[in-house]
Amino acid sequence: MANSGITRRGLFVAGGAALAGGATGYVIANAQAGEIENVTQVLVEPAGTNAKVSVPFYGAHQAGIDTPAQIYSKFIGLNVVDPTQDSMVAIGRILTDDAARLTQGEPALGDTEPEVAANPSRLTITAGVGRSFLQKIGVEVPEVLVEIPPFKTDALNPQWGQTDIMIQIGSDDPLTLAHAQRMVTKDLSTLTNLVWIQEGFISPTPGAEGSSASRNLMGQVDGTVNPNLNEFDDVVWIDDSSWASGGTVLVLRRIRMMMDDWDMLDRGAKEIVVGRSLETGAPIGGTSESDPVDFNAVDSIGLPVIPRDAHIRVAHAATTEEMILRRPYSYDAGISNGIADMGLLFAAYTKNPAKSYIPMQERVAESDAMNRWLTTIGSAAYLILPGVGEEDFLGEVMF
Amino acid sequence: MKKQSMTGIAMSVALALFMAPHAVQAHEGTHSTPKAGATCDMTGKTEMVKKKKYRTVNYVCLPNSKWSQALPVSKSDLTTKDMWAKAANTGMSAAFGLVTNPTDKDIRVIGARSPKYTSFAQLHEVVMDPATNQMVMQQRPEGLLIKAGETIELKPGGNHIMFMGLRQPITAGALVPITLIGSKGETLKFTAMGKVYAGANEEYDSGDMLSGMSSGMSSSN
Repeated sequence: MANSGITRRGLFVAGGAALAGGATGYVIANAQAGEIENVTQVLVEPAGTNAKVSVPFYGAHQAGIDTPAQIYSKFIGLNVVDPTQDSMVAIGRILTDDAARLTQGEPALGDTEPEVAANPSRLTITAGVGRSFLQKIGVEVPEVLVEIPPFKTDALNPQWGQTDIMIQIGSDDPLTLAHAQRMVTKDLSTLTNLVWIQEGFISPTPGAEGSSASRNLMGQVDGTVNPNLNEFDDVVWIDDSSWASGGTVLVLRRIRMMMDDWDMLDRGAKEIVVGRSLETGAPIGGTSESDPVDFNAVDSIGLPVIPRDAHIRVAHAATTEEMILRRPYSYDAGISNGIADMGLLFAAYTKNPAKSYIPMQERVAESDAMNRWLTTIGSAAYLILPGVGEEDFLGEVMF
Repeated sequence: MKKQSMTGIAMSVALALFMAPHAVQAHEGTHSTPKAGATCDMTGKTEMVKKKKYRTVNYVCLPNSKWSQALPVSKSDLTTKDMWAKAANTGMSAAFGLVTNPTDKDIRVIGARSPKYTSFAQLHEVVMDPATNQMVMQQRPEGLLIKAGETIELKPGGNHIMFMGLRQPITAGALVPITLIGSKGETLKFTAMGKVYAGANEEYDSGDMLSGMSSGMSSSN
């Protein structure tokens, strides 16, 4: 639905790139015969050719979640100077106005660099609010926006912690993205204080041949298990009677990869830790990424083919209720204390984290073999506000 | 040109215009026409005369003349789009955006009001002051003529709606109600969104009556 604006133009512009195999996001693997437009929408074309492609802003849900992942994304954490309902109204109005214009390739009101806004390149601007912020301003906290408990493998740095509000901006053009970030943060500068900006990227080419998922810095094809677009209502979008209906919950985790230690493992050991082939993304014992995982398979001496502590076993969702949408971005923050400071901005979207993300992460923290090479240094959760119509502003439904 | 604080100039202007004994009682049929090229400020209130609503328009024209006229209140045919106002705590501010005349007749806008935020709004232009080679703001002597079918852009560095002496801060995200008043007494109401904006700091040249006073628009903080 949120992709409907990329239709014909995307089809034509993307034609060549489709054959070249430049694809990312999670939709393509799920595209059914006849859903030609969906297939073309997920294509990330050679730099510049999708400059004029825009993602619709108005709708039941905010864009930027069921939008196939853009190449670049930033998550911006802000605290509200005067946490009141009036401030939330002002922030909602400004964000709505800026996002409605910028995502369509139009300059923001008072835009000092209007030309830079001209190439949206699938720009999306998505807003969320934190649980404690809603409590502070005296707004009913949606039941599903629970506290994310600390997990025993966490080593959280408050630098990347919970903030009052969060703005997620994605685009295939880093200049467009930087401009949108500047416009939005400038426009909110009297109402908010910037706490953090987390910058991420994905490869515009798929992690493996025919894959829907990108590759992360550890070499894994990451994001294989994701809901189909037609499962979003069951997995992602809140549909209760609260004002949050139509929104979702984002759990944003900054996961540092201990790359220098990971380097010490040989390839076979890495694949046993993950439970998949690094080259193809296929589960151990399978041949392609999309193969179903046989968790019951045993080898000739009766040991599980997928080890008990392999990442894909521990993180596996047994039911739809346990599923999450993974929309991860790699980050590279350079070198810190002589070692690589890089990893993953793990962005999980779920209609109810208490039934999906939290139990999964508890299992992961308990026994995932990958934990040795991963440290979660940042954690925050937000209610991604429901989408808006042309007469509304973001957050209006909470009052 | 000597500089004076925002509040100072706004107060001076306000005093000059509103404390002067020019409270002419206006009624239907009280007509008078400003001299061509006269610079006028327009204030007024709405009143009922013979069960009809009228806006009493007090023209205060420079240097010292004044008169008043009652015009029937009607709705302007103009439309606006993308209206915004520079966020400011005190002093001056301004509003910008697109004003369109969709009719086949020219429409002249002669005044602006935003009583919630200022007792004194004007239509301004930015021109080069030949004496100083600086861009300065001044009131548009004949208001803004918007030709049939045309759109004018009010923008920083160009024509704009000037707010003198803010009564309360224009904050980011605020919806600032503004009324434009046409030469036939017709009004156009709209809101402009408060936006943080560092520019639009031209000097203000208030003209002969207040010669020697000028000041830049205040910043938003």
